[in-house]
Amino acid sequence: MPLRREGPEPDDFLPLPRDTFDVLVSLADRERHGYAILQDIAERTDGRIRLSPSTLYAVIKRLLESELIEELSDRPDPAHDDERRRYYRLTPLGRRVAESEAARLTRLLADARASGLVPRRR
Amino acid sequence: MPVTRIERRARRLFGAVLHLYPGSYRDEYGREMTLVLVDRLRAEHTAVARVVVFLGAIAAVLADAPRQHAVILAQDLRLALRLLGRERWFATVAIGTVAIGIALSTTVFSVGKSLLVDELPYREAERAAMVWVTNPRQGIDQDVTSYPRLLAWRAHSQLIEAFAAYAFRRAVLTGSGDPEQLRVVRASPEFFHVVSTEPVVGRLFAATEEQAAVVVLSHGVWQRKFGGQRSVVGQTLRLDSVPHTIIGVLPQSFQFPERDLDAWVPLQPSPEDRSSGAFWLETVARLKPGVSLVQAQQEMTAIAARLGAERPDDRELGVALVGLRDEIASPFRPALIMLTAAVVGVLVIACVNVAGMLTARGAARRREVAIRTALGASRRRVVRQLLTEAVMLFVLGGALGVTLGSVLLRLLVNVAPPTLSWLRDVSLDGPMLAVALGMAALTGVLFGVLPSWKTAGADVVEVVASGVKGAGRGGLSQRFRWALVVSQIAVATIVVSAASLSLTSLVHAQRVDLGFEPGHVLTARVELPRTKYPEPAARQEFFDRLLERVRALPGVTGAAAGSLVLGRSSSSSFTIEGRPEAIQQPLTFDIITPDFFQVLQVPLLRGRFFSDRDRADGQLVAIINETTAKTHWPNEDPLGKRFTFGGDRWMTVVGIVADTRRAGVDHRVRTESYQPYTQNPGSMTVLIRTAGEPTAIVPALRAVVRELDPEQPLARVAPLDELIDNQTAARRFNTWLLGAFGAAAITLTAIGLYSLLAYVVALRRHEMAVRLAIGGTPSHVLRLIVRHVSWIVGIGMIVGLAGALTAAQSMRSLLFDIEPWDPFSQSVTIAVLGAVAIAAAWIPARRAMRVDPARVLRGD
Repeated sequence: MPLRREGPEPDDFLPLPRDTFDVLVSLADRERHGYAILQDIAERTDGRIRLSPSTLYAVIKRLLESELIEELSDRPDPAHDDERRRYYRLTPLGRRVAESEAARLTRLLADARASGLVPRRR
Repeated sequence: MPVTRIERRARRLFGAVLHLYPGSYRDEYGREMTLVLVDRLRAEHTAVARVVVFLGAIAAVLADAPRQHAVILAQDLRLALRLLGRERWFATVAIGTVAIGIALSTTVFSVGKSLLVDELPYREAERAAMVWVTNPRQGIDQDVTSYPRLLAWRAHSQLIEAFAAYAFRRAVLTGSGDPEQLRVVRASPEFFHVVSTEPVVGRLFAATEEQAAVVVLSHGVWQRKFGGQRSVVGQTLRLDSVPHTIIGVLPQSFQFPERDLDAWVPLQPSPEDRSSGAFWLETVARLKPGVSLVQAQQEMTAIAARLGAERPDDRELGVALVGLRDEIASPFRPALIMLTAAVVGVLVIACVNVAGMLTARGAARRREVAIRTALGASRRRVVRQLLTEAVMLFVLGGALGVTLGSVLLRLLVNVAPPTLSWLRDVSLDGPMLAVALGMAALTGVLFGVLPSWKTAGADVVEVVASGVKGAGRGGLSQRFRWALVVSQIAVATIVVSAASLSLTSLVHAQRVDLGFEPGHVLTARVELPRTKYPEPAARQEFFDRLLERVRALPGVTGAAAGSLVLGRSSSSSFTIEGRPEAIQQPLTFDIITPDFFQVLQVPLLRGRFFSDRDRADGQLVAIINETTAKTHWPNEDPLGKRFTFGGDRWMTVVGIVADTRRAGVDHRVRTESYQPYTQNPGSMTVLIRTAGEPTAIVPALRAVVRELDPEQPLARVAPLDELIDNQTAARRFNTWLLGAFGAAAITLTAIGLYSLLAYVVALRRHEMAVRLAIGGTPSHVLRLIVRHVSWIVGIGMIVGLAGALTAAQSMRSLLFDIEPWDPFSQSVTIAVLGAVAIAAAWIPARRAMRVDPARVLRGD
C-alpha cells in the first residue's frame, strides 16, 4: 500500500487482518526472524494458528511496504549463526497501529461483556 | 530416513514451487521462506506431521503467488499509465500507429479471406466448375454456349458427372399484389444436383422436368410473398401469366449463379433453342468423384478439338473449366492481392515506426533505468516494468485497432458497389487479428524491452556520465534506425505508387470516349411476357404506343428503345452472302427502334438509320458498327451487302455507325449489328432523352405504362450516366481503398521520419552548438539535416520504385490504358513522398537551426 505524503494515522489501518495483528503482536516485545514469529504465534495460540511460510511473508511484505515494520541490518540472535536470517522489528508507527487495534479489540470485548455475551473474569 | 535427506528434497521441491512467484518477490523472500519451512519441518516429530506441514506450505504458495503477480502488475500499470500520461505525444502516436496498422490489415485481410479462402455454401464445392467457351483468336476467354454444343459435351465427357445449363430471364409476377418483375433463372434439371444443394421446404427439379411449369422459390421471395409458410408447396405462381406450381424453397445461403435471385424454373428449351447455334447458355459442371479439375480440363480440351474437327461452327473454339470458387473470386483477385500487399506494407511500416519510437525512447530512458538499477531494483523488475509498458501500448493500440477495424468494415460495406454486395456478410477475421496483434506485440517486446535489458546490466556511472550523448550508443544503433526509416519509405513508395497508378487508371477509364452521350437519358426495362404478347405485332404495337406517348411528355426531347443498352449483347457466328464459310467471330445482334442512335447521339458514318419504311414484311435490313465494317469488309463497301445468322433470314446492310463502348469502358469494341424492332420485336429497354433532370419524368413514364397495361411492371429505372458510373464502381472502390492505404502509409512514414530526425537533432545538439559557437552558421546546420533527409529519402525511394514497378506488373489487369512505369503516376508518387519528407523534416530542422550554443554548452 503506497504511503501518503502527510503520513498515515494509525486508525487508517484498522481493522487489521488477524494474521497481520498476530505478526505485529509477536514483534511487540523484541525483534524476531520469520520462523521465530511463527513459533511465537503458535505458542500464544496453543498451536491453533500455524502460518505457512508464504502467508507469513505476504504479511511481512505488506507490513514493510506500509512501514509498520522494518528490517534490521544486523542480527541480534547469535544462536542461528549457521544461516543468514532476516530480523524484523516494529516501527513507531507499527507500534501505534498495534496499540490502536488492541484498544479497538478491548472495546469490542468490553461491549460484549456488558451485554452478557462473555462471562466476567472472576 | 535421515532428516538431512528429507530436508534436501523438501528444499528442492519447495524451491521449484517458489518459481510461481514473481522473480523479484522470490529474490526477496524465497530464501527466507525456505528457511522457515525447514525450521517447521524440523520442529515436527512424525513423518505424517511433516508431510502435512509440507503440503500445507505448497498449497499456500499456490494460493498466494497469483496475488503477488497481481500486486506487481497493478503497480506497473499505474506507473506505466503515469509515464504515458507524461509522454502524451509518444503515447498517442504509438497507440495510433498500432491501431491503424491493425485496423487496416485485419479489415482487408478479412474481406480477402472471405472471398478467396472461405467455404462456399455448397457441398463439395471443389467438384463444381463453370464451363466456358473460349475463342483464343479473338481474345474471348469466357463465353456462353449453345444448346447443341451442351448436348455434345454431355455425350462425350467421361469424367464429368453432370452438366447443368442455365440462362437468366425476367418474368412478371402477377396475381399476388402489384405486378412485380422477378429475376428468374431457367435451369436444366441437373442444376441443383451440380451445385449440390437441398431445399429447406419441398423438393427441387426432377430429371424429367425440363419442360414442366414448376418453380423453386428463393428464400427471400418465400418470406416476402408467402410469409415463410411451409404450405407454399403446391400453390400456384403466375409468371408472365403462366401458372407455375411451387415445388420447393431454397436455403437463404443459396446464391448461385448470383445473389438476389427470386425464382428458378426449368430451362424449357424451345425447338428453335435446341437446334440454334446461338450462344446463350451458361454451363456449370460437376466432376465425378476423384477427378481433378486438370484432368477434366484435359478431357474437355480434347472434346473441343474433336467438335472443332467435326463442326465448322466450332473450329476456333476451346473450352475452359473454372472452379466455382475461382469463378466467384477471379474478378476481384488482382485487386485483393494488391490490397493485401498494400496492407502488409502498412502493417510493416506501423511496426517499424513503433520499433523506432521505442528504440529512441529506450535510449532516452537509459539513465533512468541505470539509476533505478543502481538504487537496488532488480534487473528483472525493471524489465518487467518496461514490458508492462510496451504491452499496455499494444493492448490499447490493439483495442483501438479492433474498434477502428469494425468501423472501417462498415464503411467499406457502405461505399462498396453492388457487385461487392457479399461484403455485407464479412466480419473481422479472428486469426488475422491475432496475427496482427502478435506482430505488433513482438515488435514492442523486441524493441521496447531488449535494449533496456542490456542497459539494466550496464554500469550506472558510465551511463549517467555519458548523458544524452551516450544515448545513441544505447540499445540499437542509429544506423539501424536509419535502415528502419529507409525501408519504411521504400514500402510507402510501393503503396503510394500503386494508389497513384490506380487513380490514373480511374481517370483514364472515366475519360474514355464512350461513343455516345449518356447525360440526360433515362432508361427503363420493359419485359413483355411472351405468353401475354405472343404475336410480334402485339409487341411492336405496345412499344409503338409507349414511345409515342412518352415523346409527347413535357421535357422529353427524344425516345427510343433497344434490346440492350449497356453490357454484353447476344452474339452468334454468321455468314456473309457469297462467301463459302460461316464467320466464327461472333457478331452481336441488338434490336432497336429507329431513333435509337439519335437518342444516344451516336454518329452515322455512312448509309442511313432505320425508319418506319423498314417493316416486318419488307426487306430485312441491318446496321453495323465501324469495327464490323473494317473487319469483315476491309476493302469493299458493306452497304448493300447481305449476311445471315442462319437460315434464310438474309439482312442487307443499310447503315454504318461509329463504334461505341456499350459493353463497358474496360471492354474492347466488338463487332456489332443492329436490326429494326419491327422485324424482330421483343423485350426492350426504353431510352428517354430529356431536357432537364431525367428522373423527373419517372412518374409520368410509370403512368403511361400503367395506362397501356396495368399488369406491366417497369424495371431498373435509372439515368444512363448512373449505369455507366456503376461500370467503373469497382475500379473507384479499389482506388478509394488503395488511396486510403496510401494516405495511411504516408502518414505513418512521415511520423517515422519526423521522430528519427527529431532524435538525431537531439543527439547532435551538442555538436551543432559547437559548430555554431566556432563560427558555423545556421545554414551549415540546415545543410547537415538536408543531407540526412536526402540520403534517407533518396535510397528509400529508389528501392521503393524498383519494388513498385515489380508490384505493378502483377496489377497490370487493374491498370487501364497505362503501363506500370507510367511517368505521370510515378512522378506523382515521387512528388508526394518528397513533399511529405520535407514537411516531416521541417520542424526538427528549425529546432536544430535555433540551437543556442551558449545554453547547450553550459548545460552539458
